[in-house]
Formats: sequence, structure tokens, C-alpha cells
Amino acid sequence: MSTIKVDNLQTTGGAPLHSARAWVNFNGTGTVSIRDNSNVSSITDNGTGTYTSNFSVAIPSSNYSYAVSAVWNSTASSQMHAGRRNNSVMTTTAFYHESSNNLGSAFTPSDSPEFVSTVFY
Amino acid sequence: MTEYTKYRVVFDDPDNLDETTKVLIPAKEWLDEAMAGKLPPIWVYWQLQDDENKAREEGRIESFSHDPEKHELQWKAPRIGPLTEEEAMEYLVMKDLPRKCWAEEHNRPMFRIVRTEEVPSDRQFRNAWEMVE
Repeated sequence: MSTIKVDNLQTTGGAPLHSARAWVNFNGTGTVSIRDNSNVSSITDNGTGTYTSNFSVAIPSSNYSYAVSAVWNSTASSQMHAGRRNNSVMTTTAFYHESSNNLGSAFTPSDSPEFVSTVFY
Repeated sequence: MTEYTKYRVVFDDPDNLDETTKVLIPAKEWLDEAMAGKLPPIWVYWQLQDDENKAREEGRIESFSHDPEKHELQWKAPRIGPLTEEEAMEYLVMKDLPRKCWAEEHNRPMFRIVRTEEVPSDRQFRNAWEMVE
């Protein structure tokens, strides 16, 4: 395998390209397991619908951007929400995120068979 | 390439013992790198964690960025050499678990490295499950 080292990525037209710093796709149901990832050393199962992604290489700054999504594990009519609580851990070495659904009247933590988290910086 | 690891780490937060016992799941790719000898000394990560914790305590976390030289040590520091799978799990404990779980003394162990099949696969059972010595 070869390694390409560059400081900047650009399209052939000169537009800047930015790749993800880290991403992970995991099954949050049953025996929780990581399907695939980049720059993630582990995930932590903190309880129903709540997980932490731990980065292999720390992000340079705490002001990174992230995107998370979660698949709803049911045919029942409801919505699945994935995100981060305002007061939860978001450090350069770890990122806390959670999934919830509104199968009841309010959103409550819920495990997802496919949770995806991506970090950009 | 290793087969997917047979290990998990279960741990409790010493500050919140009423919370559910947590389970750390290692990434296969990271374990492959650890066993291939591609990791830096663990203090490289501790140094970054300490700097960030200090910034948080001093109210500077909103604009916090790592010292570039310290950050680059993650890939520039001399590698520590190949680890066994068990050694890699111990390294991961010191890297990804809250330091107070393993570095401070408590009246009982706050973490254990266990086999995957020892962790309940049922969520309701796992949430009620407690780590015992």
C-alpha cells in the first residue's frame, strides 16, 4: 500500500477538497460492533442509544464539524433522531452522540442497527 | 490482519456509579495497527488530553487548538513496536477510557477486559448489568 502526503487537495479546476477526519459505521443493537471506520480506535456503548467515538488521531481543534445519522429499527411509524446533546462530550479525542425515536409521545433514547458518525475539520 | 477481536472493555464512571456499565468496542483497524507496531508512546495522547483539559478548566475550550508540534507527535514520534492483542487492549484502556477509571485508586476495580461473549447482547439486560469483581 502506498501513502500520499499532501498539504492541500484540489480539484483539477483548483477548487479545494476536504476529506473527513474520521468516520464510523456501527451496529448499535444486540452485540454492538463496528462495521467499518477511518481514524476511530474504538466506540463506547454508554447505554441505550448513546455512544462515544474515540479517535485514533486527535482532531487538531475542538471546533470541528460533524454529521450523524441513525437508521430506525422498526416498521412502526415514527421518526429517528441522531445528534449530540449540548452539554455532552465533544473533545478533540472523543465525540459523544446519541439516537432517539418518538415511538411514544416524546423522543426517547433508542438503539439503531446502523449509526453513522462523520467528523470534518 | 487480525480476526475481529474477542475482547471488550467494561467500565464504570467513578463519578457516576448509578449509570449503566459502559462497554468499549475496539476497532479492528486500530488493533491491526497496534499489532503491527504503528502506535506512538501513550504519553503522546496523554499530553494532548492534558492540554485540552487545562484549556477547559481555564475557559479557553471554545477556541482551543492543539500545539502543532505536540499534535504531530501522533505520527512523528518513534513507534513503540508490535503489541500482542492483550497488550493492545491495555494500551486502549489507557488511551480511550477516562483516566480516573484506571489511574486512581477506588474501593473496587472500575474496568475489566472481558471476552465479547461475556457482555450481554440484550440491551435491557445490559443496562441493568453491573460490573463485579
